[in-house]
Amino acid sequence: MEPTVADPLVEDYLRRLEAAAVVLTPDRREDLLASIREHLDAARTSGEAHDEASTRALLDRLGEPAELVAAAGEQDDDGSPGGGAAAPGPVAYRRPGIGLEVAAALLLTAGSIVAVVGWLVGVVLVWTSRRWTLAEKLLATLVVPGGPALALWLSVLVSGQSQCTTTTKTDGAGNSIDLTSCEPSGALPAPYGLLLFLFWVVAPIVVAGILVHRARVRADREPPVAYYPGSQSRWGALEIAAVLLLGLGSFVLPFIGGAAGLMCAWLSDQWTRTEKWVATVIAVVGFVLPILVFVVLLAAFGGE
Amino acid sequence: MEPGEAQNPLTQLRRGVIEYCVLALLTTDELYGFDLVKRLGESDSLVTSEGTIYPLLSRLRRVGWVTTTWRESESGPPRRYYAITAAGRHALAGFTSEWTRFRDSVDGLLASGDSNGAHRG
Repeated sequence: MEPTVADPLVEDYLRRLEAAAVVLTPDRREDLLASIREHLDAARTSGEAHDEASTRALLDRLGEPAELVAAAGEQDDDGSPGGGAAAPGPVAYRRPGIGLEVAAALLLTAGSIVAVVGWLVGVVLVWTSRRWTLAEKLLATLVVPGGPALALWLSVLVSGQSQCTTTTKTDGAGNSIDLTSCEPSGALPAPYGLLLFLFWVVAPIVVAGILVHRARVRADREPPVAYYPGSQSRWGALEIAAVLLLGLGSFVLPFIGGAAGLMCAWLSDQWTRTEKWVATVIAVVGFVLPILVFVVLLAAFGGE
Repeated sequence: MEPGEAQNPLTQLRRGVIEYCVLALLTTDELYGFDLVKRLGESDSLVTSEGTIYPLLSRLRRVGWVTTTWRESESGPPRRYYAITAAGRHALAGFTSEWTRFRDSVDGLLASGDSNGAHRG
């Protein structure tokens, strides 16, 4: 008899339970997960879950993961049996968040501005998500390595350099003269350059947009997440991404970095409207500040 | 939670009562979780979701009404057995006498409601 649970139905159930249990303290979460695993193992050992129908019946009797998590959250150590009085308020349900996926998409596009590091972190996040298929993960990784900002940086570097050619000619008296002509090098003729630019900059943004949309659709098919209003941490991946982009994004790439942070902030379902407006003001300041710094620097060094 | 479910008076009642049913089951035997849950599940209308028993068992352990010991099983991994403590027996005895009075009062009132209804009908 198999000592561990390997049935896909059971695995799916345990995965949903794990996802729902994030609202619990680590102790309670471990306790609940260990107990349910033990229960399922025992059921299997006793031959109770031998086929799909009996496994479904077993899981039905256990109850919905959200229900179990709610029960685990209610059990407070105040010594009063029943535990109802000390429960941290009624359980609420919210749609599953896609903070991870949004952060991944932003890092793959806007995040690539922080050299290649931002993009690499984005790739790691993409492969961490369980809401994308293998093909989608490959697409996100391969379109395009380095992200759109790498193309921008490269084009800045390339156009900044001049290409010089030296030709040696001989004049009428037999003296050789070196003629050096320098031209800014457009690496590729205009139409190809434009196509390459479109592929390199626009395609990753389109891909990121499509993948975020798909993640949203898939997340909505998952069971709602149980939580206690007010007791949950308000720092999901989305909120952290918002703060980082609002704080640093504008300095790395004026406007776009801040705008991405703003998008994250307004997508958050953890922040209040007031907090989002505060974030917006910060973003505007973050947009104006780099310009001011630039103007000041220009005034200071421009005269030389 | 569905509004209808929240309004079901038995949901709240079950929640308060079920841990004493767990204690009662443990007065005669030490049981491991799966067996305990199965026995509770066999009683009609007592448990709606078997999985919710486990958080309750954790709580009983934390307040010191039950203890747990790991034991080897002949098939599969070790199992956690639950046993009632002296404090648990004390709590159960207190609840049992309260419950008997409570149940008799409710039964009495419900029965009189029934007979009144029968007179009118």
